[in-house]
Amino acid sequence: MDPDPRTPSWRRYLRFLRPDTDADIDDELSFHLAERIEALRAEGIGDHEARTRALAEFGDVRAVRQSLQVIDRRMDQRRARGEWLANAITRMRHALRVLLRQPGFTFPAVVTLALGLASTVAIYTLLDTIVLRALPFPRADRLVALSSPMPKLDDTWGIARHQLFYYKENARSIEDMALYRRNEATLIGDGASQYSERVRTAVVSAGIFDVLGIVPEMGRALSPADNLERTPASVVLSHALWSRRFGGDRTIVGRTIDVEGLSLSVVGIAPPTAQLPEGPVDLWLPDYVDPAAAAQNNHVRAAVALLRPGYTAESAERDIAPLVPRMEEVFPSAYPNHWITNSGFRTAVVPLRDDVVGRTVMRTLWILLAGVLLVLVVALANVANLLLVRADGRRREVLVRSALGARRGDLLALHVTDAVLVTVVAGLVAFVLARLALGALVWLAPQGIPRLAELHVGVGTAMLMLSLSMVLGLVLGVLTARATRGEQDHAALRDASRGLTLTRRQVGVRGALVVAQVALAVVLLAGAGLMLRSFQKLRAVNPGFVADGVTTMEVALPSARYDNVQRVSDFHEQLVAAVRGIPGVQDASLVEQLPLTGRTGCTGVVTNQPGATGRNEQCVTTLQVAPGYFEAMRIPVRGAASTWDDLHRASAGAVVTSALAEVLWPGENPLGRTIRCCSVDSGWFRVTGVVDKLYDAGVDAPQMQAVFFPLVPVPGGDLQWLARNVSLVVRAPGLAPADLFPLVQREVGRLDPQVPVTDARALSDVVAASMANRTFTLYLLAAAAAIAVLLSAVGLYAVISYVVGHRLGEIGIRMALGARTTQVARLVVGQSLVLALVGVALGVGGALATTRVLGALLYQVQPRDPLVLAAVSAMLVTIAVVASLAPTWRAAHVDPALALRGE
Amino acid sequence: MAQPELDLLQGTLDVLVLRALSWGTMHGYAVARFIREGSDGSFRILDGALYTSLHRMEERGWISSSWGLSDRGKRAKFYQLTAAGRKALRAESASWEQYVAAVAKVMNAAPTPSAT
Repeated sequence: MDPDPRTPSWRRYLRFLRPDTDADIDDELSFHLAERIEALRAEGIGDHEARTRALAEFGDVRAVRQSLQVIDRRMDQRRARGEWLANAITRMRHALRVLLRQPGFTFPAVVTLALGLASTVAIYTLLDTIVLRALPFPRADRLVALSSPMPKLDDTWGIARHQLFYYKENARSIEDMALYRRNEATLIGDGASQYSERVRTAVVSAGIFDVLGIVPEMGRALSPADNLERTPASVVLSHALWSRRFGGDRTIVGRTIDVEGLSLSVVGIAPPTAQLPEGPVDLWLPDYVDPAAAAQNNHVRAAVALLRPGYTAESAERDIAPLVPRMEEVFPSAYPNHWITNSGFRTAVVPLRDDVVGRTVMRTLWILLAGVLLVLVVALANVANLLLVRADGRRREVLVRSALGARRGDLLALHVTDAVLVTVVAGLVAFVLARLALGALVWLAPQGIPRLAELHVGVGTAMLMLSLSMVLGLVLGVLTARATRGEQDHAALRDASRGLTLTRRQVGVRGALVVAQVALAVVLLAGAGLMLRSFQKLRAVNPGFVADGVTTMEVALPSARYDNVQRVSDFHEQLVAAVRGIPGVQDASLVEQLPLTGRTGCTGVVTNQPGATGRNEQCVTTLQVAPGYFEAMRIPVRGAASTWDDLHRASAGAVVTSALAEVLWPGENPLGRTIRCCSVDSGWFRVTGVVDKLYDAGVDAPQMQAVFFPLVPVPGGDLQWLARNVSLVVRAPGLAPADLFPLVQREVGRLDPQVPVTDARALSDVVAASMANRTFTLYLLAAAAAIAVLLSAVGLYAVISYVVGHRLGEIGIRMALGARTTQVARLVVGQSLVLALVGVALGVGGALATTRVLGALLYQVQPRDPLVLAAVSAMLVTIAVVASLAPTWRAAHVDPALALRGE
Repeated sequence: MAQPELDLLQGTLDVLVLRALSWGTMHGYAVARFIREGSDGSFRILDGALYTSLHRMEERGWISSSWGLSDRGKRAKFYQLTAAGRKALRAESASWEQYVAAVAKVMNAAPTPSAT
């Protein structure tokens, strides 16, 4: 029974309250008893008697009353809920119909908000996957990475083998610790069913299985005894390789496989989840880590440690600090001449996640999140503005409703329903957009971005999106309702029938929103502009070699068969000769590692002919190169580089960079000095050439201090320095990598069919990859800025149209009084410009205050670069003019007669 | 309180109430009178139980209620069968008749000689 909805509203309210339900029950029961007593009295029974009998027939009144209360309350609650739902559905349906009928409002609102939401959620998902979520290891919060920064050498090394045992024994904070190196190896096929392939290897100390919590799926993990072999004898297969290459054959454990020509016994299979901090590997090989071996100054291994509960990375670092200087006494062979004190050598401890993800990436993602949050705010301002404009259009409806007695709550519900509907639809669109955007990001992302493989857009993201859009809808709805409330008085009712001008308040709120939008867009654009300038400057830096026209490939010699200097050297010489013989090839040579592909590490080099400063050692990049390398790379050499003939005569010399020469022999001629690498038996080399600017870690890092040694060590030299895995560099300007690759493959196959050639790419791509992190950030920031600019344009357009729409009458009067079209146009454009200029001024202030956070991502550009700020300001002012063109046209073509007639 | 007996009683009472209301809209007291007079007082139902039954069936959606005035001008709560209630009455009376028939059959049956 639902009579007139107006009168019973208080009654319906009361009924939700306990007393009313209870009173109904009491009324019903007392009615019954009264009737029964009356009936009994009619039969001639006395008052008292009738009353007693009626009660007796009824039973326990109090118990019945209680159970009825329980039932009725339950019923009331259910009914209230149903009513609320039905109301909400009706409201939704009504709002949806209205929204669909006004695509001019709905479409821009949904699109702008969807863009803002999608970019926010996409970047948040990236941040969550890469930075916020724990690494996929048990006890991940207790895992740390160790490294050896040396402030006085301006360099950072890894950890040496003797440090493993020393720290495990002496550092209270370390519960367990392990060393590892990532590498590649050739898994040799049997020639029939299996092919040879390059696989990713982890060369580890056995403890890594315990530290990372890896329990073999079958067989056993590597043991400390495996680490005592100089050449590995055992191997653990990854689950993926085992299933892919060996078909999940359980009898593989105990059999041998051929890695680089070495016969390795498979001792176990790792579980599918096993991985290094940096990512998955195919083979787990034992490193040579013997506690009894002499300590060497060779800090090239990555180290991961499990801290005891209660220690943080910082407190562990403090705990280890006093142990470091003592190493000079404990390991005199590794640290002669107060080496630790002189280099500032220490041991840094950082949470493993920070180490894996890297500060730059973390910082970049946080900056981007801030950027897209700004975009979201811009989008919200836009939608708020559109809602306000629309609320204005509906003012009459609202006024009529409230005049008819609609309560404030009803009006609030009206606004909130609209807003929530818009935001939820936008949220759905945004979810689809975010999925697409993340797919594209993963595709675009440079290889250096860690953990992208863990990216997953699923139910969690959808729920995040849904709740976010709901909350935003509620907020927007309430704000719109509040902003329009002031206009709901009788003055407004009169005014709503169309006044000639707008109230200051009406313009003020909308204008402020647009100003804020423009300001935010300026901040974002300034960020993107600074990145763009950095990028341009980086591109303009000469890396020290000519990359165009050079193709590179990787060649790996199986170590078992190429076990002596002569065989390796012969193969390399024949290979270079064969490749040079390919038509179209101008130059070809070999190098241990390509330039700009990350740190080559640092090895101590010693001269026995120091300069005037007396400095005789420096830790630098050492690279082994084949003759012809500098010609092939077009690196100018002062003096001369070695030839194959020099190698045959065992009289090859070394080439140093001028940056190193300046350290060892400042102001003197380095040519003719002798220099030695790393270990005593690597022999002395005469410096025969000097090269100028070269970059190593990236063109934004300092110039490289390096020595180029011959690819082939002196006869009888340490086999440790035998370079079996080398990069081939081929200068063949007319041949694309894809064309050159099969030709080189054929030549290699002719020399030795078991040697794999892989990874043919243009050297210019290698250079581009070294800037990929920055490029990626630039793309993302530029996308965020583009969206923000688009949104500001929409915002400006909406507000100017609104203002023009309301001023048509005024404009009509002006034109009737003789104003010319140009004057009217100036009026409208001027209004847009004022808003834009205020926004730009605020935005420039904001940019000056905030672009500093870009800091390390910038290259030779000041965060306050005036050129960028000027360009950005000019751009937004232009946009303001363009956005006001359509409304201006409309204003200039007002027919005064029509405008004056009203409505 | 033994649960099965109560259930049986409750079910039976529900059928009686539904049956009463199938004659038209009436208030609780009228339903009680209908049952009392219909059974010629041969069984006694506590009036309280009747109200529990009414409210419970209202919650179940079998009957609906509204306030009105009694014959003698007093404010009273009237009950009315809903479509669902009508359906329930049909089902309940069918199973009630089956039950009665089954009980009657057992009561009238002569013992058959057993194989033992």
